[in-house]
Amino acid sequence: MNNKKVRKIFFKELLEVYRDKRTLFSTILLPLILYPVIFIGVSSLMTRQNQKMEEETKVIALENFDNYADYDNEELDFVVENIQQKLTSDDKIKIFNGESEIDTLLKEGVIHTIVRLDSISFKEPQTYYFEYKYDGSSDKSSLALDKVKSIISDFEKDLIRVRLSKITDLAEDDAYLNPLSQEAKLTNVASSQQMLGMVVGRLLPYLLIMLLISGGAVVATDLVAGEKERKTLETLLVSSVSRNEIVMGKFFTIVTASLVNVVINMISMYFSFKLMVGQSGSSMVGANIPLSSFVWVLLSLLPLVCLVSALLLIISTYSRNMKEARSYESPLIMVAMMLAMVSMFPGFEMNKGLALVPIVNISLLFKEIMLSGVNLVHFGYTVGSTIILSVIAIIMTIKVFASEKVLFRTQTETSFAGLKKNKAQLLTPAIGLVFYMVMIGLLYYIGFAWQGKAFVNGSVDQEILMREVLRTQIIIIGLPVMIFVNLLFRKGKNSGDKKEARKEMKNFLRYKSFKLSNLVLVPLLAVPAIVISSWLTKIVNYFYPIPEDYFAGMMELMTGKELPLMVIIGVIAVAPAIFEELLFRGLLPRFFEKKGVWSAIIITGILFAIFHLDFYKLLPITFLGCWLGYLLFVSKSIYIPMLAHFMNNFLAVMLGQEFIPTKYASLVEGNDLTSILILTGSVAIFIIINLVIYKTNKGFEEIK
Amino acid sequence: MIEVKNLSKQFIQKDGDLFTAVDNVSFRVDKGEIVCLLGVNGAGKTTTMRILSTVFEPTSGTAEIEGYDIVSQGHDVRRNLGFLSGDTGLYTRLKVREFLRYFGDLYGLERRVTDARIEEMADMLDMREFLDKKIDFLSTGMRQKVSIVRSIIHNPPVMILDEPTSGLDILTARNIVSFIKRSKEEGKSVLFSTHIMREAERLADRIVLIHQGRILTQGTLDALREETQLSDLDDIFVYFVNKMTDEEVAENE
Repeated sequence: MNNKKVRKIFFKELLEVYRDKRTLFSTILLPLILYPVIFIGVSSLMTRQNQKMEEETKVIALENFDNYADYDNEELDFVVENIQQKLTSDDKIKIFNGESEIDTLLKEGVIHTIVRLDSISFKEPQTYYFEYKYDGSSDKSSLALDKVKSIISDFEKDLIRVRLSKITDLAEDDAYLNPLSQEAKLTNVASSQQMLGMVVGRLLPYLLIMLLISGGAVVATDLVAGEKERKTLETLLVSSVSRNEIVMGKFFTIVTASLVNVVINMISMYFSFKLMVGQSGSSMVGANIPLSSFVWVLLSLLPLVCLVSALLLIISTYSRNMKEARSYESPLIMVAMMLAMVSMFPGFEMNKGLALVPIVNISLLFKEIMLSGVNLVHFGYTVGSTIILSVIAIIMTIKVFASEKVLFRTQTETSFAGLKKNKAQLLTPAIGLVFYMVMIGLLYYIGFAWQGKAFVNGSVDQEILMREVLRTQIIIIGLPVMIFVNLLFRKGKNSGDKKEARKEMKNFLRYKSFKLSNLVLVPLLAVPAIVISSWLTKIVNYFYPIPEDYFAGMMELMTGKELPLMVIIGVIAVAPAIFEELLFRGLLPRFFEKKGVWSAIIITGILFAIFHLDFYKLLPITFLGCWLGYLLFVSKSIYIPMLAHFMNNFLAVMLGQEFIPTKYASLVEGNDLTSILILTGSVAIFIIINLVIYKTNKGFEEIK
Repeated sequence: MIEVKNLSKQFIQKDGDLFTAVDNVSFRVDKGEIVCLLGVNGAGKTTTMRILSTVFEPTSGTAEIEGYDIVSQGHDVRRNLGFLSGDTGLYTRLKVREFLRYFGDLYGLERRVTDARIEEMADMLDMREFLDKKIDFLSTGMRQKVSIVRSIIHNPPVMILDEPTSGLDILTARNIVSFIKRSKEEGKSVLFSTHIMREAERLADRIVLIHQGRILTQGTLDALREETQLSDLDDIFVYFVNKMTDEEVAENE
């Protein structure tokens, strides 16, 4: 690679990018103008609006006070008179004088709060029951309520003073009425810098990450997809630069543009924010975020910029034109947005596990730096993992750019006529993924709604739950697969054709005979597999501790009305072995197996795990899914993974229902020598028996 | 010198079938020779040339340019090649001079050499008045001139020009034709394609007739005339296309 040429490409791309007036406007000029307007304009508008509302006259209605006018009770008269008088004398309050429907007027916003003297208990000491009616959806009504309440509670002290004075002469002393709160002070131990850090730490990470991606995306779209559209890419390719030099030149352009976008936005935001804080006179006046914090932030930002730039470049290279590139970018931006938002969640703090999740880690790291300074361990984890990911992404970019099939991708319009002619075309990874996503959608929107019926008043009705789980297995998972496979193999109407089609379908889904030795060997693996997957759960748990209430919710499933064991086994162990296997070992591998057996095993394994929609079980279920896929391709028959799936779920039910003594389960749970020995043994048995299975079945199925 | 040996290129079509765009093509262009690839639209001319420019990889066969293999020595091939086609557009946000200097830089030329070359070519192709204009504002003819200068800014011994005169007015086209002739006199190997028979007649030392990815025949115009007893190149072309179709029909029976 010739660095000089990379530099030439880089400078030329920058020149082109910033010569475009639109880019110049949206990335440099706009932020410089926009933030001052937004921050200062909006904040001063808000303060003014608040002030205005506070100064506005509020209309208060007194209800039911008249009913107590003729009671001839000295204290009652004193209370009614004083409250009326105090409210009237406040110049911001107007008492509503009218007989009409005050409740309706409150809703219409004519009256802002109603004070109702609901009832009185005349037993000494007398108690007065008030009711306040207000409109929670109206700011003005809420303000009026606060005001009225504070006036009445002020009066309460007067009343106490009167009552006390009847017993003692000391009532004049304020200390009687304010024994605790007279001298109470609020002392905020957070420095003004920390207060600023808290505000900035919540907002800044999200803003920075979004700016970085949006700034990069505009440029990235232009750099390859734009060149394809303007037909200049080949001009570049036929000159004497290598494709790697082109990739690197363009990559650095995107990195630079993202950084420029971030820096300009930050500068503009910084000054606007400072001005705004100065105006508002809050506790953050005079606060400054130390420059070192910004340096740390920028340092940790760099690897993310590289990662995002490489991803954007891949998208741009893959896309045939700019419109396409933009539509492929939008999911990336959406995912990044959601991940970046964690900094705004209260109580979400950095830990080692989160430090390995891209974007989330940077977002939380920023927050931490702003609040309490840099934690080098978290910094290292975050930056290290992001660097590894960006190197992978850059290598991928170079690969993608070198691929003629990707760079000069032609229109692949799928016409129905073409598909009818050659149905095997449907078995591509892309269509497999689409089918899978439809399945996930069905499960999420329909299956979960069904199963939700079982959750009544905070407890679970097991009978309904089991019924709905079974329904989900059959209708949501089994039925769509059968419909799809039927479409693939449908032939003529006569019985001979139908028989032929059924035979082909069975072959396609691998309902085939298998070596009998598998029936002996596979059940031996059930216990080791469960031990290994429970260890994987433990590893996940170490990095991402499972929340207590989550676990409690899981246990709930097991309580409620007892069902016969056979029903539970039928629903939890037998049904998934039939229907989930039909999807994940029957149909889905057919989409992916042309790229090789292992990639089909791993992809379907991961898809299987995601399908369970449970983050904490992702790793153990991926392991099980891959193993089931392995069994499929080794035994060349779906019956063997079905058996293994059944064994696994059956054991889980037995453990859950405590048919297996808990002491066996606890053997795996600890970290002591015994359980580690059990793990080691399990891994050894697992590997050896799987190898034996591989040998006796004479290796993987050969894919045509 | 260009030497094409049994070059083939297949694309996968949307229905999964293979489409052979270039089918076992062999020909050569010697030093100081102009060879014309002649064929209708979609005959495989552009694909052949794109493979020679290293943008596409051949499915089988290979070619050498100045002795460098297009598959394994792409970088050396591009250094010795000036390539122009309908797909080599211009960066319209740059000025002409900036654009040409950029490619000079990419070929590793010193700025002094690039500038001298720009001056020389500007005189030859009459483009002095728009050297410092943004390419955005240029006409089609002006742009084609810029493209030509771009392709030969590094003074390569081999030139491949895909329909260099298409869409141009008579004057500009003549300008370019005489430029190609001059390049031949300088000892360059020129491969150009066209579907305008007159241009091929006027320029080419030898003609390669290509149809449906296959070479129908190749030779000097005189040789082709002798073989077919026809004088007009249009007629000669049709003669060979018919001959191929007849052979195919015969094969199928």
